[in-house]
Amino acid sequence: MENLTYILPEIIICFTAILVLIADITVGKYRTSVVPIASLLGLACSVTFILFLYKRPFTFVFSSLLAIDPFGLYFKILITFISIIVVILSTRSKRIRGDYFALLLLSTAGMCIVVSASDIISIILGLELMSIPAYVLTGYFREKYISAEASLRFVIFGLFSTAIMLYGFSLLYAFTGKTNIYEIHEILTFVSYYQPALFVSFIFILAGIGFRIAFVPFHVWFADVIEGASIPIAAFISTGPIAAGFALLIRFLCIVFAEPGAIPFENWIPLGITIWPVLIGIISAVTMTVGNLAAMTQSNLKRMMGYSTVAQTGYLLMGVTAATGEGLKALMFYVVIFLLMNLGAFSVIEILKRNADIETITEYQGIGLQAPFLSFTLTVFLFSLAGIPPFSGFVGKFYLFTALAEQKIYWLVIVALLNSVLSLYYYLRIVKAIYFERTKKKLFLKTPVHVILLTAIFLVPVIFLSFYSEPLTNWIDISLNFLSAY
Amino acid sequence: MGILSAIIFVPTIGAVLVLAIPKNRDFAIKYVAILTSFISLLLSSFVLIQYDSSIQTDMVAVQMQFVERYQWIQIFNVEYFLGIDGINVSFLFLSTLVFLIGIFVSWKIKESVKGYFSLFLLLETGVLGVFCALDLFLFNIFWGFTLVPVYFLIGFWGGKERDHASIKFFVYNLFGLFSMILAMLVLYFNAEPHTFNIFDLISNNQQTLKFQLLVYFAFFLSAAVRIPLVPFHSWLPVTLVEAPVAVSAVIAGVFIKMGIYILLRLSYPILPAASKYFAAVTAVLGVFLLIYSAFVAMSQSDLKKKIAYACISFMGFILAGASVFTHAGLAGSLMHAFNHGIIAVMLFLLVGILEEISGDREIEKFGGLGLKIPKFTFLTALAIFAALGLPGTGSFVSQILILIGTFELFPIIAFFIIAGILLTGAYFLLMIRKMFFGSLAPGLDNISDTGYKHILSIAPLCVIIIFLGLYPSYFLGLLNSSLSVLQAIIK
Repeated sequence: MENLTYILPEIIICFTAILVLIADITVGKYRTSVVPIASLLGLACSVTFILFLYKRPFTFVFSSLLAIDPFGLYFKILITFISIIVVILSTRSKRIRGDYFALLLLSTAGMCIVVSASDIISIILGLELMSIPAYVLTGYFREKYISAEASLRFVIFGLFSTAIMLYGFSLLYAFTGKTNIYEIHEILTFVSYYQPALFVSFIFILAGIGFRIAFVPFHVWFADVIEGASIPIAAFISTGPIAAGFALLIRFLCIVFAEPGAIPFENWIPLGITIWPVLIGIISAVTMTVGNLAAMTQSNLKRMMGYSTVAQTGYLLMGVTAATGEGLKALMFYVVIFLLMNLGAFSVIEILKRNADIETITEYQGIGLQAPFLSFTLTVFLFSLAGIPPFSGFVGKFYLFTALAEQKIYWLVIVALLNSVLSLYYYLRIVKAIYFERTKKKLFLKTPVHVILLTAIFLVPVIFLSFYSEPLTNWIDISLNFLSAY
Repeated sequence: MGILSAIIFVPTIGAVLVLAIPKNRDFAIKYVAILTSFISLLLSSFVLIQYDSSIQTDMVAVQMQFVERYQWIQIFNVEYFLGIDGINVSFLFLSTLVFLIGIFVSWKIKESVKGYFSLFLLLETGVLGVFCALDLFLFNIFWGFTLVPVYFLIGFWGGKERDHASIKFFVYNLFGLFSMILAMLVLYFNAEPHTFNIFDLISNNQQTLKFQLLVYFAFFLSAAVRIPLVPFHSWLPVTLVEAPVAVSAVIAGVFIKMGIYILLRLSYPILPAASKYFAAVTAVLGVFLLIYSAFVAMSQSDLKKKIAYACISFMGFILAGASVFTHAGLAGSLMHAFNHGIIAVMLFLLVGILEEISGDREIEKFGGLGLKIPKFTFLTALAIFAALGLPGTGSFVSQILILIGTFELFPIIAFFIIAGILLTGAYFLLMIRKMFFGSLAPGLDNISDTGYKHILSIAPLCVIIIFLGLYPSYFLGLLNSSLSVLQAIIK
């Protein structure tokens, strides 16, 4: 019973999912308002309980399947936040039924498990719980050909990646005979004669995670899925699984592939048997370059955002490359800003689609004067994504650069800076369409108060985190803390 | 809150006020804009008058005045650090003056008045911040802050090719910014304790020559985009031609001077060994820019383009002066940057006026304007003769100083500079002859002369340029102590 209280947030979310399904068929005509509100309440309860967990001693639960520690809680809060925003974005559509929200909640629960998983079994369990609802959600409007195709693509790539990852895990299990990642770590530090095979296992696991966070060369499905899914789901897929995937990556690399005595993190040393920081550095450079180059050629707004997200993943990987506590802190900082920018941009795109039925870059022409607030907001998010000072996207990237520069990995800093210049080109295409093209077309576009409030959730931190980020950095200082050895 | 913060952020407050005023109250918007920039000008004149140039010291940090210093971002040791010395006091005054005039000549803007003036005021904040910041991080934030407003000002209110011009401007300048950020990071992590404070970085220079050369190169790339040196120069002509008049004036007047400012404020004191190592190269690049752009300017038929290339050409001249570390060279270069700022603003305003009254910019279409619009002709002639360094104007003094400075170190360079000046004289005089002498060209019968409003906006510039010609030691006195400190560091 003691253990159950530690996973109460996940339990609440799953319970809400079931409740929502029942409510959908019982409340009748109030369905469209009751169901989202119930989901929101469930998520809010869950956040409250996550905050309560900070008060309790951090511990392993369920014979160390899960580690309830500050690091996991940090990402759980981010993920529930994403979920809340996606629920809000999905409301007021008559075609969305209860099962949609139930799936969304289940996927959220899966992510919450992933970020605190400390055992191979729970990692796989969490990843599947995260992905399977996401496959369904992508193809939710299945009458649209493009959605159905995206969903199928997502399923195939997702299953493939799970299989690859499982193979990597099975190799790791074969060497060590353990499934708990702390125990695996202990055994790996004693034995050194498995090296090439261990490297193979590392590559397979990295590939499996790579599919989730969409780094090159495992990014091919990403833009298609973002294009095919509805906009709220695109926002969800381009943020949630990436945050969860990075949490998993950090935890796994830092615990399994690190020298003993690495926890706490101030003097974290990568395990000498692999050259993985260099490898991830190369992946990072290639990912941002490919993402930006691909985004440059897109004419579809959602596809462009998809590739831009791939590029952002590349920037995030810089924090892992540094292989220091500072690098991970910078990564955790940039994850927050990345979530805000991406969710913010997708929110504005969704609001414009819903209220004015405009979706492509050509339709965006000249909305700058007709919807000044939304245009301004979108512009800020795009500039921030490109890393233009003084927006917080710049400061987030700057933290990553300092972490790299401290380790004297200047080449990656140069690549990333050049990439920022590159990315500016396609972000500016949208800004140009919004402000510099004149059209005679009249949009009857109002900006109601709740829309302003919703976008302000993202806009305010994106502008002000660059000037005052102390609360966030303090929280991250506390949060970069795993449970030490089992 | 000190006076420098007030100078920098009063325009920001103005921008916020402008945004708060309802859309149809154009006059209110314009008056708020002009009032806030006027307050900035008053405060910066106060700083100029109060600036005490008599402090003699070897420490750079000591002779900074009006210092404001607070902790900003604890974990990276970033400070909010502003200060004034002989090098930036004139730039600060020039910027506030140019922005006030810019708002004055923007009076005729009709489209989205609110957006235009708020962006213009935000740009003022960015530019003033760059000239006051003494912490590298803060410097870069302000530097970046200047890019977005200019992008929108060109892209929305610019001429026909504005899409092309705005993107080109942004991408080139972002490249320059990032190059400087890289240099900043390298410096930060190689200083013990880690710091962005410029003076700590200066006193910390125990680095090897190789290290200094690498960082210097990154700084120089950033300056090269701003100045702009030859392979990076293509953004400037197109920007100056397409931007609205006031924005062109700001860019030609103060924006591109930041390139020289980086060299004097950052590169030289922080990396003295590398600066000396590169001095000859810098001088050659400067002279090459001077002569190359003079030839390009000669072949332009568009008046605005001609003046844009003339601006680049003058920047080469200033760079050549800044590349020698003699007192005369540095002082001449700074003074010429100031003079040229004023002259460039005058020229761009005059082109704007001519375009307004005749609707044309092609030099071929003009002729015989001298008798038709005498006031305009007088002002243009004054600006052009000032640009050529006629005795009695401030630029005469600064040109001579640059020549003296370069002649001491690189006599051959001085020879090429003289050749460049002659070329400049040639194309400007040809232009004057074509446009103002001879018989009146067809289609110009109905144009009217410059109005009092235009004269009012140009008059202060004329006064300053003649004042500096008659009493140059005022300006040189401002520079003296700061430049001797700089020279002491380099030696």
